[in-house]
Amino acid sequence: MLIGIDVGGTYTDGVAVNEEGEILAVAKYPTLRDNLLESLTGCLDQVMSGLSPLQVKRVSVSTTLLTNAVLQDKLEKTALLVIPGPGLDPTVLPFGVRPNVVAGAIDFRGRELAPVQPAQVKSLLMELIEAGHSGVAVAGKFAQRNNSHELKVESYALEHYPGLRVELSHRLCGSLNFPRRANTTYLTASSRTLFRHFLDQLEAGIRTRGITAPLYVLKADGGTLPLAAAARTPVETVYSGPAASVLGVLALLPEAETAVVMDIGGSTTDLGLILDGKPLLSSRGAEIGLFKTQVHSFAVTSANVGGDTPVEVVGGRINLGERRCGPAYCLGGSAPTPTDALRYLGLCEHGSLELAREGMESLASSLAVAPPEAARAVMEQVVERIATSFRQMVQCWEDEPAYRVWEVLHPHRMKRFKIFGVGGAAQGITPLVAEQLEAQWEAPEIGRVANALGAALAVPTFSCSLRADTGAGLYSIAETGVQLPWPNGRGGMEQARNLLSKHFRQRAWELGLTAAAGEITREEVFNVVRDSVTEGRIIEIGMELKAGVMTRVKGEERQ
Amino acid sequence: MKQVGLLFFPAFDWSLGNSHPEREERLLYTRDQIFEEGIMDLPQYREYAPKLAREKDVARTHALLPGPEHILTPPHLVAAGGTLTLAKALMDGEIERGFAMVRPPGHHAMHTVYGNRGFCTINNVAVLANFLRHEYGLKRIAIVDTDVHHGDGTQDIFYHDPNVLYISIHQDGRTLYPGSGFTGERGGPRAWGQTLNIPLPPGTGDDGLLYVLEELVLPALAEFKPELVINSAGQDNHFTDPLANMQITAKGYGDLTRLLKPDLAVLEGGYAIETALPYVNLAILLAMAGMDYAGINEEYPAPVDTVPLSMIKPLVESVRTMKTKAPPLREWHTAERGVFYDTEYIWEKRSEKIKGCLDCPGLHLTYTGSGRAPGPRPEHLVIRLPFDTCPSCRLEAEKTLAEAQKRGSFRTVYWQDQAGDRFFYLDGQIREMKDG
Repeated sequence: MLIGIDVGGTYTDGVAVNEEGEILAVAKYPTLRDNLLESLTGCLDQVMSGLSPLQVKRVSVSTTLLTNAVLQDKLEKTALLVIPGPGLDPTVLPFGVRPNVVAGAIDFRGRELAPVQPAQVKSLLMELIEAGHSGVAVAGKFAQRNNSHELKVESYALEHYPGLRVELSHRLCGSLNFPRRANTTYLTASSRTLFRHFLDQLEAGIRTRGITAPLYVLKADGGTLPLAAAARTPVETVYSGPAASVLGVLALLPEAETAVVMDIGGSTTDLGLILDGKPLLSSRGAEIGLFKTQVHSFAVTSANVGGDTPVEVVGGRINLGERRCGPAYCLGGSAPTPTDALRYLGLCEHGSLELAREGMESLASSLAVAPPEAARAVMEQVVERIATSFRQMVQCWEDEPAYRVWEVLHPHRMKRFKIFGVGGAAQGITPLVAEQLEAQWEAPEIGRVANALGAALAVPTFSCSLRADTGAGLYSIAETGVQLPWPNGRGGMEQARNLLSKHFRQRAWELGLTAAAGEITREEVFNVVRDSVTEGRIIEIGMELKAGVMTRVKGEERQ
Repeated sequence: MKQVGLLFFPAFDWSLGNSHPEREERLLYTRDQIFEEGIMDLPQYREYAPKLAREKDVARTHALLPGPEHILTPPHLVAAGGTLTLAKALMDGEIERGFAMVRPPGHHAMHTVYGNRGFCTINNVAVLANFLRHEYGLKRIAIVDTDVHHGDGTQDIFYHDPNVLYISIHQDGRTLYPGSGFTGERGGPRAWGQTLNIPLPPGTGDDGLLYVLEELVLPALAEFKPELVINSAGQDNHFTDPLANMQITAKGYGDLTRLLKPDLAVLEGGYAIETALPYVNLAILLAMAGMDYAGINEEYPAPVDTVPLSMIKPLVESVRTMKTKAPPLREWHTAERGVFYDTEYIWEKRSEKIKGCLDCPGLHLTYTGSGRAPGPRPEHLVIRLPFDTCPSCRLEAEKTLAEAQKRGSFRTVYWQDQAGDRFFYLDGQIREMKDG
């Protein structure tokens, strides 16, 4: 039996499902804003009522802890130290916090252009500590090509200021994009203790309920990781809620289907894409408030409209508000909303029909039309907002940059797709959106807890990328920061593949995963030619354990 | 804020040969630098993906002989198409200006094309200019070519075109490929002065280049009043370039871009792939967005023994005071020339006849042939009806076509009607160039 729990903004959803894809229990529990732990355990108790804790094989949770901590500025006081070297003026780079710049420079092939100045680093660290920082995030431009500068800063720090938390960028992520790497490092450094504390409490809470099964945490890329591994990189758990919904839908769809996941919440509608059975990943990385990061995440677009979006009449037209002000009128709120329109039109069953009518009548009188017409006008606006976001999302995917001729000759094109609605008002809104986009649709009842289902069934994910510069005699692993001499030999790509497999298995073991079979997702090789002589090769390959679900939900369960 | 459009197409799966300067690796370090800087995340920039150019877009500019299927390959259509993608974004008001960092380059590709010369097959910039004229009705376009090599292809294409100003700053043709681009090459009789060549001595530095820009190029632009300025942005003036001998720095390129303010820049050559390109491309990008590029430093110390400004000044003065007059307008202006395709070892022999017309740029007839040795026999006829062709030139063109068809003396007749946007090859059958 697999348990999945997703803490959302309003509700915490839970599901128990067995390994054959039969759903055993579902639960909806109100989210307590200031006590995520209590929301989680409360929901867990509801799911487990009548089930034996000994039957549980795995518990996976997705939380908003990190997202909340960033957005509410509850991070630990941490300084960002950057080594930008020549290039763009660091003050214009999109760092989420003020960077402290120190000297030193590495170029794109990992050659040192200018050394780090120990005295400068030391005095800066002193200043930062005096200003109350308990940690420092260090990021150097091209540190993934040569980590020596970051390591030097760390060694000065540990030598002179033991106890200072130090996080180095090259150990966390290695893709090209220095500001994003710096931001990722900063968020990791400033949330690790907080997150660790939360996970400890969570683990204790679950253990006291007699569940001895391993605990997993869901990430933004729709994969799970064992608790201990997740604790090391808390930033990867952002936006795991939307990822969970996409995965839940994946479990509800037949294999290799193409679908738009439309998760309709109270204040926003999240759109995700599943292409031939594979969730689409964002090409750059998650953005959390002011922080653009390198965190792998599903490409999820939010349309700023949901069941509780307030509706008013402005200038003789229906106008949708920009943010939720409370529940729907028919559920005791103060302003009419799309939920009221749906209720009035008989497209959903929540709330009081009487109040919904009242809400629509007030709109109708301002518009000087009949109430059903007003309700339909509301829904037209809602559908338009969602459809616009959808078109932008597809456009964005179709317009993704291409760097090879092959890619331009094989462009991304959205083919036939289905709209899969999940969330509270899905059954009312999905058919309307589908009509507008001329697509098939589905919005089964179980979709209400698709997020929890996704959490329960998510498989572990991780990636491992190798870059070798055989001329320089070096290779590195982006995700772990390992930088080692390239073994002599003429193997080229073959040798790179073997090395990568080795590091991949090693990383799986470190993350607490077994039997992880990776898939090579990228292979590029460049001859390095100087004066007409091939000096070496630059090889870049990536291996991934991709997002997916352990099993699909059985047909009869989907009704 | 209006953004700068960036179209980065490094063609990581295309080369002219394993160790050729035009190989997969060429923009690898540029990618490293601009991606690592996080340029694409800055609000000042917007990245675009290339769309393929249509056959017709190429046909509007080139006669591909003996037919497009022998010449055109997907990489050319992507590189040319990429510049058109940015042009659309610019004309639709999505961006303030744009930089198409594309491979393969184009400025040595001429009006007639038998293959690759000087690493170029399709002239991206010329295709771009003619696209803007057809698609958006632009009348006056200026092309400023800052590649170290003379852009003989672009010059050839617009030599008789009074509505395109072509300015080339390059290392003196006596010292560098392709050996042309002297000050006396100023355009055909109907376009006299619309070609401006400024050959510079090897060793010219930033100060010399900027002096030329301010004293000659900017005034010429101000006088011509183009609706749009395109920069053929070759980066081989850099002091570390292995194929040329100039002394320009990345900052120099930044200054050049800041002063020139091109609406669209298109990458041409530049083969110092580690020591120049990452920095020069970054400097151009920053300058286009009005951002500070002073922090860009190549790893090498800046050049010291550059040609003194005192040597550049008289040169500029002599260009400014050139007294040569336009050739008289006769009924037909004729020109003979041989073209050598260095990359593919092809010789082309060409005779041109341009109608001396007062009402339009004049019907343009090209008799051309190619072979493996100098002096091949002409076997193809290219009939170009330029933009704004007058009725009498059109009549003459139709007569020429009918005659050629009747006599059957040419292997191929290429009908290039820029004014009517119709293009076809006639080689036993009519093959129309496709729009899609």
